[in-house]
Amino acid sequence: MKYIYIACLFSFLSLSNANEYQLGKGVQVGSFPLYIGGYTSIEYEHSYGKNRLLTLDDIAVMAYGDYNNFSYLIELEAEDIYEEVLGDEESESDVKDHFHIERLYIDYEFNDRYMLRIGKYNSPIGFWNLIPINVLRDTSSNPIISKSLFPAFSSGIDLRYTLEKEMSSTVHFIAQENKDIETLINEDIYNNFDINRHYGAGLTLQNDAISYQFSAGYFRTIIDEDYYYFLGAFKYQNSSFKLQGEIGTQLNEDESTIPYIAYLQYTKYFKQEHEAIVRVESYHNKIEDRSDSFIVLGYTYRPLYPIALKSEYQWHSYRQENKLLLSISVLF
Amino acid sequence: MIRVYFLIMLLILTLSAEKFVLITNKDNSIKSLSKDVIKSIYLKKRRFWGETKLTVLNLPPSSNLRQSFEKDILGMSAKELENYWMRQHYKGQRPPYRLKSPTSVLLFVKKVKGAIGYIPSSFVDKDVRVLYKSRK
Repeated sequence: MKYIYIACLFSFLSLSNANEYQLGKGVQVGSFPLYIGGYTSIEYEHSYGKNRLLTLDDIAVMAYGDYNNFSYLIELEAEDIYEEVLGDEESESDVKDHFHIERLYIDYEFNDRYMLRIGKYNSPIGFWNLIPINVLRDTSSNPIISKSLFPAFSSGIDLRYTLEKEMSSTVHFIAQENKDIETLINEDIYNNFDINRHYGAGLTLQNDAISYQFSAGYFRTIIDEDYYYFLGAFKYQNSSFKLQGEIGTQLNEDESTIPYIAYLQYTKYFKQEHEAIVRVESYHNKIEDRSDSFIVLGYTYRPLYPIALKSEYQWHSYRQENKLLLSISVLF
Repeated sequence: MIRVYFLIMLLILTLSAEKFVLITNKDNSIKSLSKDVIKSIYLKKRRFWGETKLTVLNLPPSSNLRQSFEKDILGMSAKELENYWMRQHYKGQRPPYRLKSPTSVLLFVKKVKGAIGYIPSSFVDKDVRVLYKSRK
């Protein structure tokens, strides 16, 4: 896996000298239906009463292209590659150099309505989970709902039906009846839930400014725990601000495991380069026996859109969870 | 006097704004398109028309015609569009093909069934089908 990554990175670096290369847009390999890109981020975290942590959060390489009705995408990512605890001379830095399969899929578009995806992909649930990488998301941190309500990745099929009218409607059917592709190939876990079954359905309604999303699904972990989830999301966006929220609940066969989990976020765009973000999150997780409500205040400066300098502070109902996050991220 | 200069400038600017037409291959089954559908095609939210894969064509960013098209149809600034295509890059989508001139667009559309592009209204001939005409 490491060699594939190095080969991709080498190709990218040598091809990026081409005149047409623009940061954040990838580069085409010759005239083949093959584009290469990637992203990286470095994060600094200072939690209340704890040591400061510097992390080379992720490095990823993507390759994709399309030919007639087919398209494909491969994304290999190394996460938390280098970690160093600052201010603690006794702690040792931690280095992980293993690359995981983040996404690996082939799409077949039958016509303007039906599309079939086979492989490992971001579960099309909610809005945040569709573009989860640091450089493109609004804040360095992810809302809790995107990590604890449903599997962030699915390895199986996704059948999509789209109807374009005044409001575009898209229906997704997710089906997974095996382990994660990363587990099958590398015997490693690279998902927020270690699952071997996932069935879900979602409906997205969308026009220029407003989007709604409703999802429901069922998944089973490898230790035979069954969970059901329901999620509703909305987004309103114009050139000066964005308002976005997601709310969900999760249950197993006996009880409600997450009675509620939600966030509401307001993003204000100041010119093209500056964004201010206020996000309120709240949840009750019975499995972890935790409830928390907190506010995230963030500011993002993008000297160029594919380069994001982000800062955020989180005020939790548990003081020890309060934290400052700073990050630099780049899309290639 | 200032008012006269202002009116003359306004007149010149109005006359210099190029009218464009959106065209497709004669064998394509599309008859006409609304602005919303054109926008969704140019943002590649819609990539097929029935069973036909669409090949969307653009002119260079410096082209006045492209600027008129983006203002009239997409309603997005050049920067907003750049940002949009960077998000699509993560999703494995590319921007429309860029051709050098309206003549290249016209020739391409004549050859490829699913091709869609915009050209000055004066370039149109009987071998292509007009899907949309700008009013300005």
